[in-house]
Amino acid sequence: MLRYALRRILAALPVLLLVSLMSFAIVWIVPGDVAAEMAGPTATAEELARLRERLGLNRPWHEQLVGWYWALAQGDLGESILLRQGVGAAILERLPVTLSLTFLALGIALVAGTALGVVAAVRAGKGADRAAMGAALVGFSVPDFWLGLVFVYVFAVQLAWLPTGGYVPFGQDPIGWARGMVLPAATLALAQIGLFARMTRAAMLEVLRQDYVRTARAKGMPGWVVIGKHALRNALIPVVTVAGIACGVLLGGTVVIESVFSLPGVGRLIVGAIQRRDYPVIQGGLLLTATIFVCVNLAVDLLYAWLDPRIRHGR
Amino acid sequence: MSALLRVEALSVAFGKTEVLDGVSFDIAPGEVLGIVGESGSGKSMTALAMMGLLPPGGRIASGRIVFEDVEVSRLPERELAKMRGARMAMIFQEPMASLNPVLTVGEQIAEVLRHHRGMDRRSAHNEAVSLLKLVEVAAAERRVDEYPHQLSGGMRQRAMIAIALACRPRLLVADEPTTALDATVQAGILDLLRGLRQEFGMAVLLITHDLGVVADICERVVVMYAGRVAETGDAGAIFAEPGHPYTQALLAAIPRLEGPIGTLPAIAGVVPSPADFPPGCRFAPRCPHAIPACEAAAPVLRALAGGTQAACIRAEHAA
Repeated sequence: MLRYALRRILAALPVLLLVSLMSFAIVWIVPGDVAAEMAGPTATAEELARLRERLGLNRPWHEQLVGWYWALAQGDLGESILLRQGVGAAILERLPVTLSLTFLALGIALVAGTALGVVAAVRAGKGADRAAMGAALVGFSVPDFWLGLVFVYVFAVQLAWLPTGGYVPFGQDPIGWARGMVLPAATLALAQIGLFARMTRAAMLEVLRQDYVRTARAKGMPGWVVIGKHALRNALIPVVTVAGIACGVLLGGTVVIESVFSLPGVGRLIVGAIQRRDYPVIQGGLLLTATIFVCVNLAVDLLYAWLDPRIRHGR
Repeated sequence: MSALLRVEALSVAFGKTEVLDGVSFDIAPGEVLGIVGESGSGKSMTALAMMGLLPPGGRIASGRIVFEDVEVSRLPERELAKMRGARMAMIFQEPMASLNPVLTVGEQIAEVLRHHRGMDRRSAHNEAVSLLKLVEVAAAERRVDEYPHQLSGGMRQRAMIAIALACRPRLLVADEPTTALDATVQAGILDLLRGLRQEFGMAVLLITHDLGVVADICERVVVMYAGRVAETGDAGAIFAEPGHPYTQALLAAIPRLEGPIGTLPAIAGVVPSPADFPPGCRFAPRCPHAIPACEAAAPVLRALAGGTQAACIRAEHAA
């Protein structure tokens, strides 16, 4: 198991290297003069030169590359032009919002989707199956920004049970944090609930046909043990694979959700940075998003091995 | 002596299609009964009906199954589950597919002990090791924590037997337990079953298409064809004086070591599928002794001079 984990971690390193290289290269890939775009049409030649100096754009590219990695190694992501703040600090400030949103949504989607899928598979062809799959299709098809607005209107404006938006740090007020997070996380999760429900249903139907499920019944195990232990553990293997992909989708979805619920997260930071050509922030954001994604897939690989001993033993 | 298990005129249907039609036999305590027949004869379906494990859509259309004086064919699922794995256990043909790939062998044995015998985790684990030793798995202390894919085919079937024996059942149903295994491994498993049956006095219902296996271990035999019992009797009588042409054909198809090398007589044709069972005697279309009367009515079991009971109106002519 330890060797498997080490192998997966080593395999993730080249990806991170490539992503950091791409983040660096953004400044070179975009058409036109980066400094001119950042400074805007009214900038004087003197201001442009100062900006170039600050970004290091006047140095040869290999020096810039070495400088980029040297700074990265020290955890320095550069300085935001507009926020007048370190990029690292700006991201760290907003990271808890985005991470709580993403992982809360992932948790909701996994639990609700798996439960729905199991019920649908066990009751395949019956009313409960059709209801669950119908709900999954609706969840799939409804755009999240629209659903978010509906949720805000119903639960925050009309019923006034929950706040319309805003963020309370968990450390400050856990209940306030939860109240603020429920609607955005549920909105973000909905489409993924449908995805997990369909995946789980398909995997469960496959597994329920297997001989070992019949063995479990022949042993006299009660129905919930047969379903929840013998069948589900096997069915979860493909579902976990999808969870890694879903996590990437959720992370991307936070951009819209943060705007709808006015949450001060990384998604909004990056959108703002793109609109105003704040390249250091874009670079940092790209690096961060990719790193999270790589970490999640690493976690998926490890979870995989935990679920399936055949992977653990390299077979 | 009252029977441990009685199957009385059992019919099983999927929708309107009957796959078993009036199957009757019984097993005495401690007895080894063989059910033989080609694929599609209804052997496995009979066993699954006894365990209450019929596939989705299957139901007992008529007849009864009585086990230890309880009519199990009418028990609700909850009561059946209490009996399964405790009083009546089953092992299957494919030991790889029949073990759960994501659970250790020990866990798959121990959960039976915890569930039926109320053992705690530690003693169930220890008992699992003892059971693996009982079924002669080498290095049981190590094997108990391994997963099915780490075991050989023979060891997996031994592990399945250990699961089945966990609660010392009165009846072990073995559905083609050696078919998927190599010949030498087969012999080992049969030896083990024979020894265990003597040690615990449990009855064994052995389902097989291999008459060699039957000759090896069974005391009585039920020959099935197309969802019905064709012939039944003591193993000695069945092998010495088979009455039913189908039994005769099965016996003729056993390869022999002595005598000249020749072509092996095979039974022409295949078992019809339940949707198009012929009227009258279902073996008639493949039978060399068939006359028009065979297709008129389903033959009933009747005692023959040879000591067996056969469902054939032409048995005296076929001998």
